[in-house]
Amino acid sequence: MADQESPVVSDEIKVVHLAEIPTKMIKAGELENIARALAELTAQKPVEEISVPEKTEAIVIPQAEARSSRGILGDISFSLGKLTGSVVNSFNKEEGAS
Amino acid sequence: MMGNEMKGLYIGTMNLISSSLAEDGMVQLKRLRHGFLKIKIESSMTGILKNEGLQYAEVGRDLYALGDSASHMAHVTGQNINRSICNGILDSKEEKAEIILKLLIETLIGKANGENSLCCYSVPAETSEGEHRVVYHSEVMNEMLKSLGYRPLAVNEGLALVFSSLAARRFTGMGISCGGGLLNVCLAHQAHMIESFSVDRGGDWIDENASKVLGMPLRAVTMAKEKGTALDLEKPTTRIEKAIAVYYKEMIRYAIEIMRKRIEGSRKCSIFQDPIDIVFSGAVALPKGFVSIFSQEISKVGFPLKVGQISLAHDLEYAIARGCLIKAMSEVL
Repeated sequence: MADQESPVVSDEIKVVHLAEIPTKMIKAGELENIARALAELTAQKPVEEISVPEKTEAIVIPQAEARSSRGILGDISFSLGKLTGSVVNSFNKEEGAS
Repeated sequence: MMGNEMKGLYIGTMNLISSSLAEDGMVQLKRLRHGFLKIKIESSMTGILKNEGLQYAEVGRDLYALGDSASHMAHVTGQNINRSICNGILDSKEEKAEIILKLLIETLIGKANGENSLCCYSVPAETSEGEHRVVYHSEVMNEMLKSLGYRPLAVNEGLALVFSSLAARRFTGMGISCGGGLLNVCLAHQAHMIESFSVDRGGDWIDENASKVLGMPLRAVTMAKEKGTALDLEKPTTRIEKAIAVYYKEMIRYAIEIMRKRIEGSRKCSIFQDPIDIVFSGAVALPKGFVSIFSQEISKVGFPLKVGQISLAHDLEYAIARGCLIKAMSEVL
C-alpha cells in the first residue's frame, strides 16, 4: 500500500499520514476449500435449539430428532445420555459456529 | 464467492491484522502494530514527521504517532506506548482509544465497497472470572464496523484459530491464541464451540514481571522477548532471557491449571472420546521451546482430556485473521 494521506477522517481527526503497511499475499484457494468444508459441516449440524430448565445449558439436537420430539417437549425431560454424540452446545450462536 | 466483499480482522492487544479476499484469487494480509503515543510537536512541523516516514494523526489539537512509529518513538523517549486495547478488549479508560482504533481499522480494511460487505472480526472469550467485559467490546466493535459500511460478525478468537488450523481434524480440537493481554482458549467439536474462556495472562504479564525482578525498563524486556525463534526458552543465555523463560513457564503452568479446572467441571467435554489436537497461534507462542514446555507441563497434571498432537499454527501470527476470513467465506457459500 502506498503512502496515504486523508485530509478529514472525522470531525476530530484532521490529518493522518500512514506509511506503507506491511502486506503479504497468499493464495485464496486453500482458504476457499477450508471455508467450503466449514460451510458443509455447519450446514449438517444441529439447527434447532431446545430450551432446558434453568441451571442447565442450552443444548442443540439434530433437526430430525428435534422434529420427532417437538410435540412433547413441554412435558418430557431429555435424557442427556440418550443424546450423547449428538448433543452439541451452541450457546454462542453469533460467534460463528451455528 | 466473487461479488461479495469479505474481510477478516484480528483485533489483538499488540497487533491488528486484516485479511481480504482480492479479485485475483489472492488473499491480502496486512498488519499494523497496535498503539499510539502523544507527541509534542507544533502541527506546522508535521512535514518533518512525514518526510521521516512516520505514521501519525492529528486529533483535535494533539499529535499522535501511530503503529510501529509509536512503538519506535516510545523506545527512543523511554515512554510506554498507549494502546486502544487492554487485555484483549477496548480500553475504556484510554480517552482516545476508540477514535484511534477506528482510524487504524479503517487504514487496514478501508470503507465497505457496497451493501454486501461482510467483516468477521475476532473477539476474545470472557476471562474465567466472567466479568462480562467482552459484551461491551463487541458492541463497540459492531458499531465501528457498521459505521465503515460493513456487516459485522464476531468470531471467537480461539474458534477462528480452529477454523484456520484444524480443518484436517474436522474443526475438532483446541485452539489457543497467545496474545499480549490474554491467552484465548477454545475447545471445539466439529466447528462448534464446546468451551471457551480466556486466561488473564499473556505476553504483557511476562514483560511486566521480568521487568520488575530485573529492575529494567519494560521496553528492553519486550524487545528481548520479541526475538521470536531466536529466543530459546529451554536454553536461555542472558539474564533477561532467563527471567523471561521463568515467567513463560509460570504462565504456561497457570494456563494449564485453569484449563484443567474448567474442562474437569464441564459435562459437555464428555463429547470428546478421541485425543484432541492442540494448536497455538500468536507471536507469544513463537519462542523456541514453547510447545515442548507446554507438552511437558500438561503431561504432569492429569489433564481431563486425551491430548494428541500439540503444535504451532502455520504462519502463526496471521492464523486468527485467516480464520476470520474463512468464516466470512463460509457465510456466503
